[in-house]
Amino acid sequence: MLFLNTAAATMSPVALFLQADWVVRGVMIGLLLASLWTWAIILSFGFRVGAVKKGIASFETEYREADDIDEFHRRAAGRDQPIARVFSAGVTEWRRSTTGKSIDRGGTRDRLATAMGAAVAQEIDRLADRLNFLATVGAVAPFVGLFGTVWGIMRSFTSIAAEQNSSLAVVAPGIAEALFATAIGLFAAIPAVIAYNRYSHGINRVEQRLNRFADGFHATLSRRLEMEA
Amino acid sequence: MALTRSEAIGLAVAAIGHIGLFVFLSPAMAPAPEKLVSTPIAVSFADDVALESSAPVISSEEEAAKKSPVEAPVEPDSAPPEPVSEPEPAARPQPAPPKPAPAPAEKPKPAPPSKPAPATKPAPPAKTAAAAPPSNPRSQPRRDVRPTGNLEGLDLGRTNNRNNGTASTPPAAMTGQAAADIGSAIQRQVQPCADRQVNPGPGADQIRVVVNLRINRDGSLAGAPRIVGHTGVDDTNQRYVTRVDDAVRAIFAGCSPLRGLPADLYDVPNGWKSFTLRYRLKS
Repeated sequence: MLFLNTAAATMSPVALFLQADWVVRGVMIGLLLASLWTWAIILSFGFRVGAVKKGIASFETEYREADDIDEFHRRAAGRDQPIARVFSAGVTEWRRSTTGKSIDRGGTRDRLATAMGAAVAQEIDRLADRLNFLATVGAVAPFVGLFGTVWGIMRSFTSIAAEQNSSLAVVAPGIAEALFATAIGLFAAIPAVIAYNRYSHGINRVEQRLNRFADGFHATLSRRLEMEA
Repeated sequence: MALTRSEAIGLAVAAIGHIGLFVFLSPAMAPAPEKLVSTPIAVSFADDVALESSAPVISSEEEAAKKSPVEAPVEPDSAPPEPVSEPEPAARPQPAPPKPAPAPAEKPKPAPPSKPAPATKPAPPAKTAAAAPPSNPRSQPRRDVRPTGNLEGLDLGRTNNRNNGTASTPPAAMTGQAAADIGSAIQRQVQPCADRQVNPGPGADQIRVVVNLRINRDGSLAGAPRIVGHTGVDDTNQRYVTRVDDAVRAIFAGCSPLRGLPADLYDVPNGWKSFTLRYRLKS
């Protein structure tokens, strides 16, 4: 009965890690780093998406209340926010297109739409930069953990064969250490998948709001283009 | 892929969280609980091994009456087990009236205080202490017997009534103690073979196999060990009985001849010529 106590004592992560051989150790270390980076991305993404949404809301309010676009541009263009960059991309393109002697209205509208669309796409690209890592971890980490498990179980079968003894005391530590690899894999993968789905949804909503703002601004500029003509 | 500020903060928080979880899951980092160390103790029950008591039987009532003119306050039928306590009622003046012993004799009055006749006195211890043969080491202390100068009682104390008062105990008899000694000697000698056996399964060490060994005088086995019976078999270890039997046969066959068994106990009744013991696989 005593060996059961010792087996229970070796269930701590450190002991399981130290018992494993180097392949399983490599798997465990890799998965642990993946989990670390996953959580770093999750946390930083939480901050960033929240800040972006808040910036969009306040910027739209200010934009609606502003009378003069040029004056508002001077005030707001320098902000480090995606929506401010989209706005200033539109304003920059507008100024470039309207400084010439003859104004091609159709071409100006197209260029305005293109410039702001490009600005939106760039902002979304920048935001979604780390998301692919979450997707990769969510898809691959269980398999990597499973690889460690299969390797560890193969090894414990080998030790059964070597000792010619199938008692639980011989088999259990190897299997426990092998299953620990899968446990770490799932530990890394589950938050990654959840966060990936949630942040993909959040990024899509940010992109839609930016596009709506760009469309509205484009409509405003387009109206002014007709008035100035 | 340079870290932005929010990513650096997130990384730090994640690292702290991982370390916290790691510490939480590592009871090994906490002070280790004391381990219970139970050192096994070898215990042998003499009654289990010596299947027949070899202690001398007390003489019957009539013979005692013949030899002692005075009826003594004794418990006539109390069997050998406690010879130590029995001399007491005889030696002490006011013995044991409250005892509900079916003593046929009149109550102790005659003997007690004066001890007038030294010739009559030693008779009671003689009869009662007949259960204390010298071969039984545990029955020695006769505390309260007072010297009377008469050896008759002492002589009678040595007798075995089966032969009407003459000493009949052979020079070496298979007592329970001796049988237990032989049993443990055999178990000790077969232990190396037992260590080589694989425990068939959980609960198999609860099975006690009653095994009969026919042993030659030189210690070798005259025949294969015979399995006489089992105890300790229940539902959980039922299926291991056959394998335990095989293991026991292999153990005794593999570690014979047996050395160092007392030669004078070979051919006596219940001697180790044919020795039956209960054996249990150690886990």
